[in-house]
Amino acid sequence: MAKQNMIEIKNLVKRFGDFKAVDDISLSVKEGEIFGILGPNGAGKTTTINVVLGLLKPTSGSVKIDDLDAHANPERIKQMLGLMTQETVVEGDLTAWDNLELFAELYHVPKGEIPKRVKRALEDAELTDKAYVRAGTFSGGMKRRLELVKSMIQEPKVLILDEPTTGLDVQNRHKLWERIKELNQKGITIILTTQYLEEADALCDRLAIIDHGKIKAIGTVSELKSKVGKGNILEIIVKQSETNDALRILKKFGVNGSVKVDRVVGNIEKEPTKTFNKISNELEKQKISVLSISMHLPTLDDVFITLTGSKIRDEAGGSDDAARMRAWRGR
Amino acid sequence: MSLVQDTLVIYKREMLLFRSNLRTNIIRSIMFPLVFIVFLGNLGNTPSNIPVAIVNLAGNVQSQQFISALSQQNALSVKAITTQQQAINMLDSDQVNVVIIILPQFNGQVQNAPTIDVYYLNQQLSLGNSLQFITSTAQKFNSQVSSVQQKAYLPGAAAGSAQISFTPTYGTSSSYRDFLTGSVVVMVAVFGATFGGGMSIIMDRQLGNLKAFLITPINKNAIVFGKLLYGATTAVLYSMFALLIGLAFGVTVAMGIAGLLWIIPIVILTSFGFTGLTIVLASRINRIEVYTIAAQAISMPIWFISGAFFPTSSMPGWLQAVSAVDPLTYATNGVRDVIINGSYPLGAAAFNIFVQLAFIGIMVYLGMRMFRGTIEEGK
Repeated sequence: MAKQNMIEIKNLVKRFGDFKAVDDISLSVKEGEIFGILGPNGAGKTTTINVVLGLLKPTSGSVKIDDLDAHANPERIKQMLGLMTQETVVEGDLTAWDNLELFAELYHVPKGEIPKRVKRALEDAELTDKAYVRAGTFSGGMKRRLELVKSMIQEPKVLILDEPTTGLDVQNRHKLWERIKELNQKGITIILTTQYLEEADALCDRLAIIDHGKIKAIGTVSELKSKVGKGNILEIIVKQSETNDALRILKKFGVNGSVKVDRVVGNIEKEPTKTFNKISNELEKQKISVLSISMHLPTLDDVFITLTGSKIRDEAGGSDDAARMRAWRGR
Repeated sequence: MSLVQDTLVIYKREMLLFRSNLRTNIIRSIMFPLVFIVFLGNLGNTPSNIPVAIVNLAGNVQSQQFISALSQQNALSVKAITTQQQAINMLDSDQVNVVIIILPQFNGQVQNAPTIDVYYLNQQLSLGNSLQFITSTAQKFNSQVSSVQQKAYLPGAAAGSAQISFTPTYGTSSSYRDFLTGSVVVMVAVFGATFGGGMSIIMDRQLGNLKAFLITPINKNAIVFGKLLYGATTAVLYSMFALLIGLAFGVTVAMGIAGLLWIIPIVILTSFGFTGLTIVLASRINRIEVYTIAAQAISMPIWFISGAFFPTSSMPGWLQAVSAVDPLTYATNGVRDVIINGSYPLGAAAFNIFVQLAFIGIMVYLGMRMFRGTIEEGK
């Protein structure tokens, strides 16, 4: 498989009024890879995706898909892209068959081929026996499966998954991951936005971490992890009044720490076990009341905290919407 | 692919959704005309026990049967009076609303000559439809009716005057129900538009279906046109329900079956215009609650002013001016001509249709423009 760039985003900026939802993003997705876009709510993930899909016009910058300018060739681009969003949008009042047939028609699949495709899609989704049942009666997992085959009905080259597993239970989430991997093995390029670091870790070949509309880092998972530093991450939670004492103790053992509220975090580069024990003894000696102390290898979580200065936020309502509303009122 | 094909796909989708909620949709569409035509249709129409004084100058079997036929109805409360003067005095002093004089020749043998005189005060509300009732009962006795309005009454001029004649407030038709049915038939098209056009766009937007449509290569205007077609289909369906309810409760279409050939296009045009209007609303409003209030705040006055409940001619001058710019006025006038007047002069039809087409043109153009505007913003 030729590893050419399937998607190329260059200096993309998208403003809503005064608000810069996407601030100069450049990235490229290679053909056949699973590319993750990771970021908290309101980071600009969905806005970026919407520009790629042609739903939004970029304020500046360009998006090319398979060497075609996304906004100059909307018809061809749209045939190449499939989208599955975080809200399940199968129509509950329609049967599984009608749902699929409708989208096959919307995508201008040749009339004669529609029944064949719908049948195959239902088989892929393991919903053949539910073809004529209203989708509204399906379980969450079934709906998501139907949604996935629906977004593939036009046989796209690129599948964009916008937080595909949000709200799914663990079993269904793992099943969906398997399906995503299967599709990828068939040669479909996949772009995945997610808030779940675990999901990005499990699926993505490469990923970009974005926050406040900017790319903070881009690379393979191990490349990103190594950015945090070698060695182990030490995390101590103490009373807020004692964080400086804890910080001093870390320094004594050659660990540069940083404080976030009541959390002291440092990176132990040498002899992790020994240093950990020494620090833990010293804390006890100085009678610092430790609520929790732990050490682990860097995770994407740590990468994230290091790069964005915060844990994944889970605010109610994305600020993407808030930004749009602002833009709306501004007129 | 062409706009037409895309439009038909969206239309098909809307109809599938309509079908899957068929029962709710039908119940909803029947409730409104049922309430208006059946209940409100009685307004000013059949007050029961209207006091009537009868003077029987014939005194034969037929006249007795005629009186008992009148008495059997709740509509009239019949009193037998001996002299004409006494009865007229009762009318003067408001003891009765109608006086019937059965003339001596009342025996079913003298044709084409008045055999009954009817005196009444020309006050629509106090008469209800008692006059039609008296006329129709008299006709069963093969008898002619002359009538005299009390105010115009001169003793000598009574007999031999023309047939019963009165001008009810609600057009030439006899019944307020007929009058109301005409406007309900049009109004359900407007209500169909508020549910089918704007509201479905807001729902699609909220549920994410709109985004799903927009990432497909369909022509964006197809979404608007699909909703317009859907709105028109349901509007015709709802209007036919309303008309059937009216027919079931005694309303007649003066133009007969041919009237349908007028009513259906009028309803379709109404639906197009108002669906366009609701799409404009839906392009500016994101919440169903706000939309519902806005749609009602607009459609209710439009309805009242269109002469739905009372003829525009009975409105104060300034309101008549407002009703002249109300697009629904022209639809209502058309349907009313068909149902009540029994003829729809081509000149009036052409003018009404022209106004409706202008309204459609403006609304659909604005709807398309503003709908596209919201898409560009990524809604």
